[in-house]
Amino acid sequence: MKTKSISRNKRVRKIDFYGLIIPALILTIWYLVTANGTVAPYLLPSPERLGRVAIDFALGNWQFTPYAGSLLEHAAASSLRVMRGFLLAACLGLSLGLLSGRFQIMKRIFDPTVNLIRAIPGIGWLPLAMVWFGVGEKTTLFLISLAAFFPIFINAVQGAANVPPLYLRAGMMLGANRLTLFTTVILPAALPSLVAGLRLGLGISWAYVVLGELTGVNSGLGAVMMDARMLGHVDIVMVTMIYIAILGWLSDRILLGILRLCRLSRNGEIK
Amino acid sequence: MTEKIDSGLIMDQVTLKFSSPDEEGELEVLDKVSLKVAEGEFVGIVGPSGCGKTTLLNIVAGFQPIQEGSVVHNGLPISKPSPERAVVFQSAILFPWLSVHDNVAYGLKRAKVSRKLIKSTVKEHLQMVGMAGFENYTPRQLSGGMQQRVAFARALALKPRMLLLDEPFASLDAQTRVIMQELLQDIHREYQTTTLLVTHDVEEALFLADKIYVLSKRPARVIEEFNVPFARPRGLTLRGEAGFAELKAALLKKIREQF
Repeated sequence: MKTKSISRNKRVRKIDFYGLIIPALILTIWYLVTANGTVAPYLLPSPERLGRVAIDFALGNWQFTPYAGSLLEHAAASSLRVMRGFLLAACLGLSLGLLSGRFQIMKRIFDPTVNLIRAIPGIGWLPLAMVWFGVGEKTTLFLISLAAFFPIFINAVQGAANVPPLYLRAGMMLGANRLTLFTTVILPAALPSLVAGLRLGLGISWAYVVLGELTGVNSGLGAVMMDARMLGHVDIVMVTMIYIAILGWLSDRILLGILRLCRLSRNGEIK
Repeated sequence: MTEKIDSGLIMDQVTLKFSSPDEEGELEVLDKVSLKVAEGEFVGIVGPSGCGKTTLLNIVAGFQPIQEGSVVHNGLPISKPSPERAVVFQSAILFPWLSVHDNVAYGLKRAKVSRKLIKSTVKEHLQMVGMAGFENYTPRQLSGGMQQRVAFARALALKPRMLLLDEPFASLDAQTRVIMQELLQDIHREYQTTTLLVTHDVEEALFLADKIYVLSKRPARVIEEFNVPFARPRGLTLRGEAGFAELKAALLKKIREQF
């Protein structure tokens, strides 16, 4: 535990200044071109204005835009969609993936179809989804689940299939039956792949919630974005982009936190 | 050693062929191998590398089904792995996601042993292999020799009827190997667990075993079976004695003749 916390502190403290050069440069140029009026504010608001709009969007203290103070409502709506779509994808992806990774017959059943569907880019499903599910909620969920399914499934297959055979032998020799071999050897051995798949899937979920919301729902950050574009509030468009990035990052941390909690509370052995 | 009917391990005329990858028919691995390990006996199997020693052990462990012949342990044919025949592999193969304590407890949990008994059993066996105090370490924090000690504790904690050792010290440095061999001798003296040791190290087999089988190169046949004459307990000085050196030379010659 000790060594872990030390290395984590180090990572936080050690900021690579070379990495800050380009952001600082961009910020400077951005400031200059907006300060002297080279670029009109309706195309690019100043950094300062953007910061204020961002605060206003969250707290509603200045009422700069019609969206002032509505961040929580829209963020919650988007997060809920991501959660529902992601959970659906995770359930299907993990179960089918683990089965396909362990049983050749399952792999032979699922693999060709999955690869076939995967060849179609997720965005390409949008028009068809709108015809099938209408504009809005269901279409968004469908797009998220569909897109997030693949990385989760593929990583689960890989993780389950690549469990070192000697671990399986050790487990059997120690008295594990088919079920306990799965829960106490295959699952923990595959866990790093499963986590990788889930994280990728969650990231993709955020991409597709925006896509779904752009098509015309009333709430959600994607909806705000599209609405603000039509009303000429480029500042809100940019602020929304930033908040989506923050939410995506935050949800990744939460996912990792949940996974870590599961492992710790069970003494490292998954049951 | 006296042999009791129906106890110990009896391998009778076991033949094994693998279908070879280059479609040229079959790869013969074992050719009518017969051997016996009596209850409480320590048997060594030596042979040239690649001769099928490990495959033979895998058959006894129940990992590898056979095509001809029979393998019977305590009167029952071997068909699948069982905690009655605990294996120590060449590398420890501890589960990296479990602590040292939980690795040793793993088999006991599968056997539904009570929590209290698990705790005391794990403690006892870690102590026996000299790993007391390392309960909360993860395998990756341990050296190869320490990992192998834990692997022995894990196997012995199950109170197996038979201990199967697949070159358990081959990946350790020479010094650690000698220490582990002495540890193994002590364990065998105390528990009298029937033991089958597969090794390419003739000296190791001579030092540890009551009886040694010499296998030919592939397909493996038993070319020699002989009892090791040295009295127990065997000390470090045994390796320096003339009788030991002679037997070792004779055994090595037998193995070399195979090439």
